[in-house]
Amino acid sequence: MNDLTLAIAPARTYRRLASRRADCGWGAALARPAFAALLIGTALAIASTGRVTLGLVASLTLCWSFAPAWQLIAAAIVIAASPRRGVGMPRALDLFFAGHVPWSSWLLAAAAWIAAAGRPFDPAALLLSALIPAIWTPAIVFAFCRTVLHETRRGALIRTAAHQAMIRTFAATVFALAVAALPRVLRLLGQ
Amino acid sequence: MSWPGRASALLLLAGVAAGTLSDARVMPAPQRQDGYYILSADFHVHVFPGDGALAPWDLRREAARRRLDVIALTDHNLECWEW
Repeated sequence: MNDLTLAIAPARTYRRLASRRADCGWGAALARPAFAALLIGTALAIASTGRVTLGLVASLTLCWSFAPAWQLIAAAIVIAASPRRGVGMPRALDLFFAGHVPWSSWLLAAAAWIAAAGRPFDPAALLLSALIPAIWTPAIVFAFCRTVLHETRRGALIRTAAHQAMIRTFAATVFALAVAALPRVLRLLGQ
Repeated sequence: MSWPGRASALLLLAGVAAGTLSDARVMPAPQRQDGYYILSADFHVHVFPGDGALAPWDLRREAARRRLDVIALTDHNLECWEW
């Protein structure tokens, strides 16, 4: 329930969660990123094949686990760069990943949408809908920086921007490599 | 993890288990007519880690499910580096 309320009222929920004297080990800290990886694997299985089987989900989860792994690294960088934080790294990571609801909901909705729409699929509306979590998540990250990391408004803004830059640059790089964007751009420039 | 988190994780795992148990394995043999094999093929398929989602081994299984005998992995390569 915390994850849902956090998505709706991030500042208030983070304040409440951060004030709890809950200790958190590395195992618990990695539970949410692991769940995010499983969710990505499941969503991709639904979107690509319309089915979910153990083999397919396990394979896709493993293949795409680099995405939550990078999110984990980006979050750890932001957290480590905040000396005023009142919680340890594992607890901070757990709290950070509690803000997954916008992207998780979008992923599952997008998978169901693709599976229901059939082929050929026009991705324009789907990509446009990704603007919702893309705007929503920075608001949650900002609230995290303010309340859990005890950053000033300016510090929180800088950290949110840095985090989003890391995530989006990584996503853009992966996309560019996947579609061989660089040779295409060079070819366009050469013409 | 809170109880809704556990519940959603359990729901997800239950869905995967149900999907696995209800999944019928399809490995069709190619059709044969007048001494010739009739093959179904898709010569434009993308794969992970290119811009496809599925790994090659999953793609092979999925192709068999869709009764395709032949697929060609046509990821965006670096052919234009050659110029």
